[in-house]
Amino acid sequence: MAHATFRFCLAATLSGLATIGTAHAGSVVGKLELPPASAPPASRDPAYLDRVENPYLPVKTVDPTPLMVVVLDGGPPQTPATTQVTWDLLGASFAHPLLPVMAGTEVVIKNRGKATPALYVVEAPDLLAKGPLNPTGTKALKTKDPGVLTINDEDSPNLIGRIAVFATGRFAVPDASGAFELKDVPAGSYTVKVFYRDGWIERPNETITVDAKGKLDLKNLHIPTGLPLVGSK
Amino acid sequence: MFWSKIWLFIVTLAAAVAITVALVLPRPAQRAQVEEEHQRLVHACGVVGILLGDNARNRIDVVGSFARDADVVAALADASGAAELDEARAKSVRDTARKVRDAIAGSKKDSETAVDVKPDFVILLDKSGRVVTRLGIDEGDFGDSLAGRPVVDDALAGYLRDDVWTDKNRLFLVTASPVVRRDLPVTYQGAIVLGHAVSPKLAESLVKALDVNLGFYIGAQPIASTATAVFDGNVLAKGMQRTGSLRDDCTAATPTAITSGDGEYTALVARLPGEARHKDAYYTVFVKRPEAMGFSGTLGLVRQNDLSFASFPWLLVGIGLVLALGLGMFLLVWESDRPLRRLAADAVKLAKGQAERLAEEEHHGKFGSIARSVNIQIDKLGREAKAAKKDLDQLLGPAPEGSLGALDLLGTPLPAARPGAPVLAAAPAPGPPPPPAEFKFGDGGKPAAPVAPVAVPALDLPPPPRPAVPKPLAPPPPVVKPAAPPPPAVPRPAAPAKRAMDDDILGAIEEPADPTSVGAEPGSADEEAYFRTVFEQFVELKKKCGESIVGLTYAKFADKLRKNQQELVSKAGTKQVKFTVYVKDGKAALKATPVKDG
Repeated sequence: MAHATFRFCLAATLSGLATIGTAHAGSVVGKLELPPASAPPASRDPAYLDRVENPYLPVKTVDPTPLMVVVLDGGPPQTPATTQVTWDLLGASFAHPLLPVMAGTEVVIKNRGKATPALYVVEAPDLLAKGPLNPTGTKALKTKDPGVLTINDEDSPNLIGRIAVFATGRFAVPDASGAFELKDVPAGSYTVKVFYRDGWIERPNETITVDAKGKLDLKNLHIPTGLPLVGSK
Repeated sequence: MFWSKIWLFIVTLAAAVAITVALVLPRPAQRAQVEEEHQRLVHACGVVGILLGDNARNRIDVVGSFARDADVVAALADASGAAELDEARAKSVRDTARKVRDAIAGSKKDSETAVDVKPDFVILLDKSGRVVTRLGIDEGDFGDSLAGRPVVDDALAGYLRDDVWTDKNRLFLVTASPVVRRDLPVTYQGAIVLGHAVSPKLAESLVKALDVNLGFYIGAQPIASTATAVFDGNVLAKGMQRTGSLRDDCTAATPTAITSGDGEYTALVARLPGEARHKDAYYTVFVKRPEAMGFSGTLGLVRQNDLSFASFPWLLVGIGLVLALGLGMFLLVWESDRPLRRLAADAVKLAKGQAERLAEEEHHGKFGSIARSVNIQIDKLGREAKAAKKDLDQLLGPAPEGSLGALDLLGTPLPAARPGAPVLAAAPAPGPPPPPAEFKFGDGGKPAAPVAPVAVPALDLPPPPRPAVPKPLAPPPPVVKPAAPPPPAVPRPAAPAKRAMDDDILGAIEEPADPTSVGAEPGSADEEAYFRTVFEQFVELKKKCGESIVGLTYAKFADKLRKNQQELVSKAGTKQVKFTVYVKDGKAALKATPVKDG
């Protein structure tokens, strides 16, 4: 619950930061209708034995929502962000496996773990300063164009974080139940799209019109089973 | 000789085959040895993988025991509910973990898996993956998250599994288990991670029954090994598979030849699974490479026991050797020695006059050819002798007994001292009429009556009729040897040239008693001197025999000698002719003998 609240607040904050100065804005709420819990993902880096389920409880299912972002595409243009976002590296993983930001946002990676990873951006190796990131240290990168930036550790390929860069700040991260809310959305016509991990989910995207001061409830947005991505077929 | 040659060929061929086999045989043997070594490494590599799996199973039992401990469950349940973790909590939970660890290690101390029981590190995680505490390594660190590492994510999701980690040039065999509160409500409370360092002791336990060495590496960095040999890890890493399933590494990898300070080794590399795979971690089984074989190397490997009667068919080899030797000796005697002796015996018989020819039908092969060649020559010589004898007979009548090939110049009566005097000649012999002999002194061109050959008289011949002048007649010498003829104009070739032939044969050939002869140029001074000497001896002998020498002039005598000499030379094919004065039937006689060349 704490994580879900954090995510929701992050989305609201980012959206708010991106829409400062918007006089006529409404809000959009909704809920992602997630597919049934998928089977546990395949074991990564198996060793000598196959993993064994514990005898006391069913194994946990996979929660895809930390890797999902609901985005409103379209609407009035928005000036690039000049804000800064801190992204915590907790050790072997980031606090948020997928960090949505508006283009122009500076992302500061703060190492809160005990290791000293050598992080790099897969898509743009020069975007992040080379060298190890000491515990409590930080490294910053400036986002520019919409797209996905994948952060890896040279010493640990299992450390993966993604930065989803969008053209506007009109996006929200759903909680574990799939619920989301976008505030301060300027009035206008938008297309609702759902981003997952590193691409757009292939689904019939809804076109909505946001009033100047209203709350648009999108209710359930159907997410297809298997979370297929556009262009992945 | 044919079978002797075949036998020699077979023996040579057998020797060549034996040498070829001796030189070639080590090569397939060496290949077989290399293949056997490869298979041994593959087998050992697979066994090490299986034992590491067993080892992982034992360690999962340990981590399961750890995760079920009530104190651990309670500590993690408490930590999972806390917003922040602090040092006090970390220490408290660490103490709990230490007690549990020691308790588990003590309970399994006598177990064969004791080496696996006590972990080198313990990490306790809350249900979000935060490190509540660490025990054994980095004990002061807590609060960071290990979520994201595969083994931790699986443990937090409810799985027990193993992994291989690398950390600061160390290898750890890791196991993780979810921590579940079994009291209602049953919930996940976190996870526990155990790590066992890869050590030489572990390596030895894995290969103690395999007769190979085992080493663990991270890239080029050696981690633990059962041997003191230090290898260049870069070379080993090159032999590591990069693709395909890790389970197939032992069978798919190619053995690597590698050198250490104490010798040459053959190593097989297999990747380590889990996270360590990304750091090029692997283990290698290796054995010292046997020395290269080859012929001398193979001989060097022969043990004394290999040559014992129980291991080696000495009896068969001995029998084979004796048979080959016996066959060779038999063929040698049968085809060479015995025929040679037979031929030699025949040749001796021939030389001794006990046989006229070699019995060529009794000799086979080359020996028969030799016999035939000898017989051909004998036949040729016989024909030539007969021809010469025939010619002389035609000239002078038959030669006296024992004078083969000689011309009895005075076998015919010499001309009478006075014309009309009776000719002192023997009655003509029956048989073929002798050839017209023109060797007559003072015959006035009348043809001489044919005279049968008369044997050379002995010394006790009846005394010749007394001559007109009474004079005691001294007993005539059986044969008056003429004075030595002048030396031939052409130097005689060395006689020993003929000695190149078998002595048994040539030993029976007698040299001419007196090789002196006339070979000088006709009309030369030497010839004249020789003829005069012969004339004088002839005249003296006639006197001694009481014969008249009236009308006997040197000119006629020499002319006659010269004619007969020429005839004899042309018919007998010789260059020299020897004249001998002797007494025949109480009368002086003269014999011409062709002297064979050289």
